[in-house]
Amino acid sequence: MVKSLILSLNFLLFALFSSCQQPSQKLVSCDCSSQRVRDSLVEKYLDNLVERVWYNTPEWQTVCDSVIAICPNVAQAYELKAIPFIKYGDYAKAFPLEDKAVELEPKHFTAYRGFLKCIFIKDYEGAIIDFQKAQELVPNSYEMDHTYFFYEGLCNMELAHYTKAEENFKKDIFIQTGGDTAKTVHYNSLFYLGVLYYEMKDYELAKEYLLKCLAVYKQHPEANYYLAMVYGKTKNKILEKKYLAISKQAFEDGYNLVEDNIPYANYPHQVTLYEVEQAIKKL
Amino acid sequence: MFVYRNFHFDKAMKILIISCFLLFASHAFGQNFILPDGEYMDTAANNNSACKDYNIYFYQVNGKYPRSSYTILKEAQSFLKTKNNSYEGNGYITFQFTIDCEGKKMNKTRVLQTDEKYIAYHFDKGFVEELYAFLNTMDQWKIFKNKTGQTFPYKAFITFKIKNGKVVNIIP
Repeated sequence: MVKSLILSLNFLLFALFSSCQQPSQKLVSCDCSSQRVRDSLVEKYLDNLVERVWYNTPEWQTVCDSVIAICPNVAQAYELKAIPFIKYGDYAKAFPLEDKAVELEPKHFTAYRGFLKCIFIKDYEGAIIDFQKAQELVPNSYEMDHTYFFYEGLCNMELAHYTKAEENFKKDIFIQTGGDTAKTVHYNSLFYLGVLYYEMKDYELAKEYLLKCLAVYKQHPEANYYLAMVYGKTKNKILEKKYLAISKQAFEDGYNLVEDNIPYANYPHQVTLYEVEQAIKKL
Repeated sequence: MFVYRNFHFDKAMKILIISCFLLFASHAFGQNFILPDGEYMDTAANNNSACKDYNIYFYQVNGKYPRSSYTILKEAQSFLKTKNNSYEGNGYITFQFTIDCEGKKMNKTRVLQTDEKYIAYHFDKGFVEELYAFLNTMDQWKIFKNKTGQTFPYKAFITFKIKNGKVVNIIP
């Protein structure tokens, strides 16, 4: 505790002297209302923090707390401070920090909070509110490689609001292509539209989109699994068996959905080798 | 004489009623083990010196439980059904623990509870204990081995998302 406090103070003083104070002056406070000052704090202490400090250490919290102590309106400090908590299930600590980041910089952090609610904690209603707000603030933008409509579609699908989800996924694809059907769409946009149609029991469309996904990423384990499920529903045992075998092999070879946050969270409708093997046993 | 006997009977009844209430209250509203860093279901530490803790987290070692969230959810719901109890409340119940060098969940388990707005909250203790009992049935955790075959423990967690007293989702 004492060591942590000393570190904190050292950092605070260092930051004050090096970033905010004129050399001839003894001690001045930073002008935190200045975007330039806040940007310089972020650039100097937070932008490359992950390369210097492991976020499950007290030092990580000390750096974030010190920046907050200098300028309590640096949104990124709150967002970074929350990382170890969100990744280890401590939501009472994580979300007040995320909320503060959104309050300070809604254009930057509303979609990110929506992403956390959608993927990390499965608060689908809360995520939809955030993504709709984010769409108003920064129209047709992206968060973690996907459009806001992609995540809204995932949430609506998980809530069984299938018509809304279909609308969301189509908007997601339209933003990616601008209406040009020759342009490549993200394989997971195609995958989830296929899964949605599977849930809607429209097996022809499900097959069409899952095959489109596999045309881009043929080892996609979940796309192969759900395509097998589609063939199972349409009584095509041969193709059901074929795609389950491909899915099993893909899992054994280490393929997955390929999303950055797969190590931390299970994505909607994500399966594992276990579910594939169970399906094979039932054949 | 009658009055005297009745007086003692009333007193005994009062003690019995108060005892029953305290017993019930300690079950329904009681807390677990409170340590400076939080509330625990179990505080028993690891005594296996060969299995040293290097502060590794599940996400560093591909250590998510090897079942889909949906499969775990169905298993949890089946488990709770056998208990045949009903509960209330919305929010999240999280258990944090360590998987040892043999892939077994260690006893020491921290519990965190919030409402649906992520504000600290306490669900019925019986509900938390049932979920904890289910957690202890999860026995397929991965063993983390490095390239030389040495095994290491890692930190993991499971969160139960609760809606109207029912488990509706599993995190991760």
